[in-house]
This record gives sequence, C-alpha cells and structure tokens, in this order.
Amino acid sequence: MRRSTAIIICLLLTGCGSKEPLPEPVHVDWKGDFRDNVAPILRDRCAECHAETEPESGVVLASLDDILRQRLVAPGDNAGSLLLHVVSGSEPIMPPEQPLSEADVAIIKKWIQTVPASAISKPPEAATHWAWKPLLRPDLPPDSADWCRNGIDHFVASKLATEDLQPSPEADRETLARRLSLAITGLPPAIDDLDGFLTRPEPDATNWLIDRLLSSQHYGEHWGRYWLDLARYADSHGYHRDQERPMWMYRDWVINAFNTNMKFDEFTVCQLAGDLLPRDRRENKIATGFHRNTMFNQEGGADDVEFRAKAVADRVETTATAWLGATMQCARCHNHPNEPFTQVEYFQLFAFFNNTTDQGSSRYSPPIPLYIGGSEKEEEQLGQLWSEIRRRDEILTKEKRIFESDPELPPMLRDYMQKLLSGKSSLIMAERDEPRETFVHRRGDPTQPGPRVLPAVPALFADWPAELPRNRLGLAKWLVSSTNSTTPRVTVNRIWQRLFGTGLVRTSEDFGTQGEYPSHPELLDWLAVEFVDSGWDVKALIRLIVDSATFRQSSVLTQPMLNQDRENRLLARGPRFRLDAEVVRDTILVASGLLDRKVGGRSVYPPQPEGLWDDIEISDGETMMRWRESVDGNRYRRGLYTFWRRSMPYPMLTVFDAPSREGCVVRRDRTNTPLQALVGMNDPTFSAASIALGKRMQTESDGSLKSGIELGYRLCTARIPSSLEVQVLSELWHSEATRSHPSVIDDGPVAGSSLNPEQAWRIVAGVLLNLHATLTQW
Amino acid sequence: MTEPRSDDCCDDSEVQSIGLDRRTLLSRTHLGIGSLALHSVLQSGSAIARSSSAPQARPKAKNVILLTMAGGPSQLDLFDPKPKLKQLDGQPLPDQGDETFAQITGTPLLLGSPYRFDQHGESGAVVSELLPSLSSIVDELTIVRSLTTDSFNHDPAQTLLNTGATLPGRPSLGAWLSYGLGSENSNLPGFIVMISGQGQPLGARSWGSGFLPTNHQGVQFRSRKDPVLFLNDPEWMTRQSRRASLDALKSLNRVEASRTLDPEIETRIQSYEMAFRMQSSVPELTDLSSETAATHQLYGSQPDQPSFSANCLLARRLVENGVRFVQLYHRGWDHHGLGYTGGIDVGLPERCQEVDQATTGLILDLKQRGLLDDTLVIWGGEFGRTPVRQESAMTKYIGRDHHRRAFTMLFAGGGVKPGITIGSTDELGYFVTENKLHIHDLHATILHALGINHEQLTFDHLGRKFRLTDVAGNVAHELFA
Repeated sequence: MRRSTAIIICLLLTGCGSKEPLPEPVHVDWKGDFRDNVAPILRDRCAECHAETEPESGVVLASLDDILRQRLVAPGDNAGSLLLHVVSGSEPIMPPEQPLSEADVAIIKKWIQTVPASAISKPPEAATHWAWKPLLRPDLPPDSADWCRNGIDHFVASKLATEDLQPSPEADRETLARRLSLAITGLPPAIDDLDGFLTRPEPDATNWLIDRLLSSQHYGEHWGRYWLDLARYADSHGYHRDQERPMWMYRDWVINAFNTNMKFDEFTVCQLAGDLLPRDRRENKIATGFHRNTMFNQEGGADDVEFRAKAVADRVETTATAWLGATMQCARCHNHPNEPFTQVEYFQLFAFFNNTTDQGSSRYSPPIPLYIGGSEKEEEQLGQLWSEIRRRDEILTKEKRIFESDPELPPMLRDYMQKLLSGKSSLIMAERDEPRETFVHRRGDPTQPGPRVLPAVPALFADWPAELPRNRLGLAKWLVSSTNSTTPRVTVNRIWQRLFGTGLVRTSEDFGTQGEYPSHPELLDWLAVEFVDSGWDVKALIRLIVDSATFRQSSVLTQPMLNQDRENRLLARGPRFRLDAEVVRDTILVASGLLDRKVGGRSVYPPQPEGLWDDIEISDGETMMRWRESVDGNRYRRGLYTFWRRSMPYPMLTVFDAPSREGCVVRRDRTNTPLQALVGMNDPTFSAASIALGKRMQTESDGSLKSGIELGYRLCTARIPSSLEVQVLSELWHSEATRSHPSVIDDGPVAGSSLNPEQAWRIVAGVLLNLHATLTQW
Repeated sequence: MTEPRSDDCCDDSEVQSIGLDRRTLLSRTHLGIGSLALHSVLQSGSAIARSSSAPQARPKAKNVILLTMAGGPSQLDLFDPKPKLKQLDGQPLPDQGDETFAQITGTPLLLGSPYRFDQHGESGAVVSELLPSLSSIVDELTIVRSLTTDSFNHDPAQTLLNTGATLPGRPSLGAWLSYGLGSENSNLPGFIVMISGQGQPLGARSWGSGFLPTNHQGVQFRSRKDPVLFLNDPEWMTRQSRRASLDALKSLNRVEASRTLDPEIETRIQSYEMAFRMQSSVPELTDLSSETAATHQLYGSQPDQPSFSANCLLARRLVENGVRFVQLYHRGWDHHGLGYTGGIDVGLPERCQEVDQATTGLILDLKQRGLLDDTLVIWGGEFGRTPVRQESAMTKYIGRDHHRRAFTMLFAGGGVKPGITIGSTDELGYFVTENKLHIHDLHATILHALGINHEQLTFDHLGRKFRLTDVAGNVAHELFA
C-alpha cells in the first residue's frame, strides 16, 4: 500500500516537471533499478539471442520497452512473470547453457516487485488503428445530390462523388418487396404479401412492409441463424464418434432473443455469462449454451486435459472473433507475429473461461452440466448428484434400459437420466466452486504449464472498469461497455455484411492490422455510434440500413460499373448475391407451398440420400445414430431446423457453402459449382418442390398457360416475366406435354394428341426453381 | 482519419489490375471451367490470384493415389520385423520415459509377432507372410519404416494425416492439391474419395476444404446407384426432358444476363452444363463391367461388388481420366484385440487379404499402362501399433494399442526410388532411430513429388499465410531416384 502511494507521488511529481529534489525512492525507482541492475544481466546472458534483429522465438530483450510490450513481466507479480518463469525454478529453461546465478534471479525478482501496474501501457496501435481507436461520431458529409434518405447515404454519396460515380436509381417495387423480405426474414414474399404491398395506398409503403417483416416470427429464425454460425451450433459432439447432443433449446433461445429484439449488450451478457447473472432467470442458463457448442471427444483414450484445453481455447478464440474481430489463434503458442497480442494475454483471456465444470472428453454421454427444465429446487438437488453420476460413470455409457433396470439408482438420478435420454435438456455453462488456476501453456501445450496468469483483457483494448468482476460476467460486460470501441464496429459490420453480401470491412472476422481497410471507415464509425446510442437495438439498426437510399438502389449492373467496381465496394448499386444455403432451401419451399412454418423445437430429418451416415458410424455395437427421415410436416421445415451432424452435415446445405459448425464462422464462402447444379436438378426436396410448384401453377392460376407461368415466376422471383420469358417456358411446356411419359421406354412424342399437363408443369417448375434470379438476392 | 497502410493499397491495386481478366485467369489455371472449381469470381478470386498456384519445380508425378488404412495397421506384423521382441515376448516393457497409451494402463507386456518375415525380390526387402502379393512386387516398392505422428487418438491422428493439423478446420491434402493444381478433366472433380470396409467413422471433413474455397473439397464417389450425390434425375425426368429443361434454363438465364449484366450468370450456366455432362461421364466411369476379366482378376474385383479392389480399379480409371488426387480409405485396422475390431491374430489377416492383391494389382496395372511413372501411390494408416500387448477383461484376441512413435508406409511410382527400404526403429520397434519422417515431412514430400514447394503453397486466412505443412516439413529427398 505504502509502496503504491509512493509510486503515484513519484509519478505525479515527475509529471509536473517539479525541480524539487525527490525523496530517495530507491524501492520505487523501478526504471533506474532496471537500468542499473537488471539490464546488465540481460545484456550479458540473453541479448545475444534475443536482439532486435532475428530474435530467438520472437522474444526481444533489447530494452525495457520490449520487455513491457511483450508482457514478459507482470507488475508486482513474480509468479505471473514469464521472464522470471523461464530463468528460475529447479530446472530453468533459459539461458540454455548455464542458468542465471541465484543472485541474478533475486535481482530480477526484486525488480518485478517494484514495477507499477501503470508500466504496462497500450500498444501504440490502440490509438491509431481504425478498428481500435476511440469511437467518435463523424460529421455527416453534406447531401449535395439530394438523394439521401438517411445518414448512411451521406457517406455513400460523398464517396461516390470522389470516384465520379452516380448512385443507381431506386429498384422497382417488386424488387424491393423481394429484397426486403429475403433480407429481413430469409423468405421470399408470399403472393398475398406481395400484392398487399403493391396495392398499399400510401406513396411509399416500404415502412409498412419493413414493420411487418421485422415483427414476423421468421425474422428471428433468419437472423438467429446467422448467429448460429458464429456460435458453431450443431446437434452433435464432433470429433470421432460425433454422437447426438441436446442443444436445440439453445437454438430456440437465440431465435426468441432476436424476435423479442433483446438488446445486443444484454444478449452478449446472456451468451457468455447468463449463468452468473444475479437475476436468476432460467432461460439465461440455456443462453450459455453459446460456449457449450465446443466439441467434445468421446473416443476411447482421449485425454481430458488435452481436449478441455482445446474447448477452452475455442471459447477464447470464438469470443475474440465474434466480438472483437481479433485473430488470437497465433498467440496460443507464441506472441502474435502480426498483431499486438502476446501469449500471456491469450492466457489471461483463457483464464476467464477456465473455471467451468465441463470436460473436454470422457465417457459421460451426454456431457454435463445440463439444463433439464425442472424446478429450481430440483435443479439444485440434481446439481448435487453430479458427483454421484461421476461415480457411476460406467453405467452412463450403457443403454437406456440399464438405467431403468438398475434398482440401486436413486429415484432422482433415475429421473434425471430419463430426462437426459428423452432429449429435453440442453448443455449449459456452470462455474466451479473451487477456482482453477490458469497457467500459460508453453508452446500451446496444456501439459507444459508456464507462469500463472489472472483474468485480464489484452492491453490493446479498453481499460477494465474497476467495478467489474474478473470473471465471465465481467468480461461480457466489458465487451459491451461504453469504452470498448471495437465490439460496436465489429457488430454493425456483420449486420451490414448480411444485408449487402459484403461488409464495409470485407474481412469481417479480422479487424486487426492484417484485416482489410474499410471501404467507408466513417460510415462504419457512424453506424457503430448510432447502434450504441440506440441501446444496441438490432432491429433499429437493420431498419436504418434497409431504409437507406443506398440499400434501395437497383442492383442492375452497367458496363462502367463492371469495369470500375465489379465487387460493388463503392455501393453505386444495390446488393446482389447468391442466397445462403438455408435461404435457397426455404425459397423453394415457399414458392412451392411446401414450407411448414412451425417455429422451434427439436431438429428434424428432411429427406437426404440413403446411407449417408453409414461411413461415420463405428460398428462396435454401441449406440448407432440413424437418419430418422421425418414423415410429416417436418420434412419441409426451414433449413435451420435440419439436424446438424458435424462430421456429415446435410449435403444440400454444405454444397451451398454452409459450414460444418466445428468452429466459429463469420463469413461464408459463396461458390457457384456443378454440384450445386446437381442439387437443384435432383435433390429430393427440389424434386418435390418442382412437383408441388407445378401443381400450384396449374391449379392456382386462371388456367391459361400464360397466367400459370406468370404465377410461377412471381412465386420464385416476385416479378412478372417478359413476353420473351413466357414464350421460352410456353415452348418448353408444349414440348413436354406431348413427350411420352418417362415410364414409357419409347422415345419421342406420343402419337396422337394426348397431353400430359402435370408433367409439363412440373418440368417448367423445375426450371423456375433453378433460375439464377431465384437463387440470387438482387 | 487513419489512412490505409501502403501495402494494403498495393494489394488492392493488384487485385483490381487483374480483376477484369479474372475469368480468363481462372479458366486457364487450376480453377478452370474444366474443374469443379467454378468458384464465384466476385467473392474469392483475389485470394486465389494472390496465392502461389503453379508448380514451382519440375514435377516427378502428376497424380497421387493415397490408400489410407484407417485404424492403424500393425507395422510390426507386416513390415518391420523385430526378433528381439519375439525373444522378449511376455516380458514387461522397459521404461520408455513418460510414455502413455491410448487404452493400455500400467506396464504392458512385450508382444512378438506371430508371423514369419522373408526377404523377397532382387532387393531382398522384408515383408511378412500376411502380404504375399505385395511381397512378389517388392522391387516396385519403397518401404519407409520411420513414420511418426503427434497423437495416438484416431481423430487427431487422422486429422493430422489428412490436413496437417490435429485440430479440425484446416483444408485437406486433396483440397490443397485441387487449389494448387486443379483437375485436368473438364467433366470430373480434381479430388475424389472412396471408402470401403467397416469400423472407422469417416466424415466429410476428412476431405473438407477448411478455409479454402469450398469448391476444393473432395467429392465422395459412393458404391451406390448415385456414385455422386444427386447425380441421377428424379424418376419423372427423362434425359430428353432434362436437356430441354436445361436449354430453357440457359435461355432464361441469358435473358437475365443481358438485363442485369450479372457476371455470375455465365458461370452458373456453365455449372449446369457440366452437371449435365457429369450425369453421363460419371456412371460411364464407375461402370466396371467394361473392364476385361483379366483386369478384374488382377485386382481381385467383381464388376458389381463394392470392395477395396473395385475402388482400386476405379482409382486407376480416375487417374487415367485426369483426376489428380484419389484417396481410398479402407477401414477396420484398429486391432486392439477387442471383440468388435479383432486383433492381430483374427482381423489383421482378413484386412490384409482384402488389400494385398488389390494394392498389388493397382501398382502392376498402372505400370503396364505406363501410368506408374506419373502416379505416386502411397499405402499407410494414421499411426502404427504398439510393440506391447493390449490386455483387459474385454480383449478376446491378441491386440496391440495405437502407436505414434514409429510406423511404416509404402510408396510406389511417381519418381520414387523402387526396391529400397528406408528408415529404421530401435530393437523393440518403439522409437525411430533413422530417417524420421513426420507427417509434415510426408506432406512436404508429396507436394515435392508434384513439383510444389510446400513453403510456397499458401492461402491468406485470418491475417496470415497458411500452408499444409504449417511451420514444419522437410522433403525426404532420399526417397527419390
């Protein structure tokens, strides 16, 4: 206490430039102590290998600044200082030939005790790099073109002006209806909604439509699905056996959070630390499934220490990516070569997540802890039974019948196990009573502990508010605290990316020095400020963007645009990109009328090719998983409800670039391949949709070929086809109606005038479902 | 306002300067219209354009056939005889340091091989009696006894073998090759996978593209009526109707292209056309009935029966047709001695029988067709098996546990020096003593054979350049003639 006061006084005096002679601050002149006593040791024994040029292991010991910058010492904390760790102990690692003398080690120890906390300062990039510098509201550029609808457009117009480009005209109303509907709900507009919008009395009915779409329950499904890619949500454990895992309640929690427009700061806290909230809402525990989506190895002999470390590392890296756009991976084994993150900082973040009860691998199936939907009291009692369950781990690997027939099982435990097996449970985070100490993993190896670290965030980022607890709850609150400028930028960019296909920062997963510079840096900051000022209101932000003149532009290209801005980074036109995998599926289900619009519930098994899971089963007689093909409306639920098995996800979705969900994905690929064409031609769901859409065109129109084709076109693309387009499909219809039925082996048209209109309609429908315009948001 | 760093600017201008011509670029290189790699030009062309993609040295091989024996075959009963082990059979394992095992606990007992080893061919290479066919062609083989890997669990070891990392998320070897070299056939993917046998779970990520564009992922050919997923038309669709549908689709997409100038449309039209061609080329290719009886006899295959032999024959047909990388998995080599996997007494002989003639047939067939010089064939598992016996209440047979410190792989063709045995292990077969070949080294060596410097085949991801060999890998030059 006395010492730190002395430091403050000392610094204050220095800061004032006082010429008064200082009292003898021998014990606090830490810089002088370094220069006089520590530096000579380092110079003699370390500097040869750890010089500024080509330093061994990337560790530079050339100056005090180097040591502080690399976080080689923890102020006042010998145990937490990497420098001391490698040169001391019973078997010092450094210097390699001959260890330092005890006296030298004592000098370093004594010095570390005097280093003040303030010595660890932010890296200089914190103030200069576009993603990390403080967030200030930029001034709106003037609206010289009289084109702007809101602030977004001011920035876009100003950039276009400097590039000598004009914005595109507004898209027509059908296009806007389809674009808004796909953007907000991930579904194309139903004909009634389309007609309702087109016949609204007000001059601009888009606000009416936007309101309607944002209040639809399908909004939460669509925007929740984006989050599930970050959350690496899946219905199986991953790795070797990849057995089923009960997580769908988490998925439904996310959908509901978006539908109720939970503010993003509250959402963040629930995702990372809902279990630690004093307000003990049961749903908050389910929300913590976010970090229980890490993989879990059920392989015989898999090492728990190794796989738990992998799961915790995944939590660190996913958190860093999702909220901070930070690529921490490199720093797990060594200081980050490109970014100002040290290995110590990595494990300081690791420490936040290192105190939960879950394991990385074991024979427990499913892993604990779980939320099982009992009363509070029941849950508490069940929690106490965990140790009992552990003791009986043998029985946990057995089949359900064994629980039921084991007379010695306590009734409570039996009930618990039955709930587990019935699938009405969800993995959650739970904190250990006895805190677990965190050590740096030398070279990333959890069996090689280095110095001990305490929970902290990288120095680069905002300061830690003193009132926050140093646990997951504190971390979550820090991520969305007013001093953190990075989370709002990363979040608004991701929302922009979903609406425009590409973020203002294209590398939405990487806001570091290797990430791409924003196309509109001031717009990014302006949106981030708007977002925070709105109270982290996601729906309000989406509304702001989709209501902009920028979003409402036509997406039709011109040759100059192709030449000058092929990728539309300057935003002289509206968004145009291939639909995401799930949206492709949902679009054909809406167009054909097959979609079952039920929201939530357990994952479903739409038709997939036979035998697909055979190769991922281990044939040892233990539980095999089966694709239990749904027979009812569950065949045609939205794509996000499809059972997601990590080692063999639903092939239609992966062909259209859905990720495996083994790790956090912020930005999907968008490829254009022959395998996608095969899906569009032959996937059983496409086939069923062709038949159903053909029937709709035949029965829901006025009976003429033209009106049937128009209906089909509107269902798939929301627009009325040109006469040329009608003609192409009419000709196809005629040739197919007179072609012999496929069951007849003879080729060529059937003799006589017998027509097969059903067949002709379904073939026309198959073409419509595969149109580029159907598979694209434009 | 912060200005972009100057090298960012350079990158951008580089992208823009090639932007206009990117389609031409793609069609000429590995992402040509010919391959399955009709990747969205808008989205990822820049990353590809910036990477090194062309071969960088004179290639020794054009194709690779990787015969992956999933589960971990026992090198000690097949290729690496240890008389000492036999002599000490039943004695406790001497202290090997801090060694642990996947399933064995306590101090296990040494286990000599019950099988006879003989010298064969002019080279005098030693192979066990379990592999008589391969024994007869040892002069075509290079036996490497000094492989090592990082993990003794199946999942991480297989993931390392397939992707160069023990954790999931990296691109597979075949995806790297598709990215680096592409396919030479306009109607087939550049990376094809086939599976036979039972026992080891194998999921799509084993041939996944990781962070590479997803069009580089392997395509699984299945032993079913749909050799490629979704290849067959629905039963209500005739070929004539399919053609007429695609013609109409093309016309309508062209109308859309002229209205919107969306450059993706032409790529999509080409995708559908290639899909249509694949509908005839793939069944033709996978139909083995056109092969002569003599060929089937060589492989031990039956035209209509799925097997490792049939997959080997199909692998030859694929390579013949310009597929660069074919990976065959044969499962069931996890010989712990447990009831469901068997042991080295019951289980291992059956697996050997399933692959011995087929592997031999493949090598001989490639040779007689003049393809062996261009095709590197590799045979091996994700790890080997322990010199000690695995015993518990559950073991029914003589079993060995997983062993990562030393195991054996076979090489043939592709410029590899035939008729030699490289590398050695200690007298118990526990550790490698000479010519250690880590999986990273294996990958570097495969790339080298294809003319690629493993340090230069990179992809920008998460702010750094990733490569198959991460930060390791040494080419085993001693393998090459």
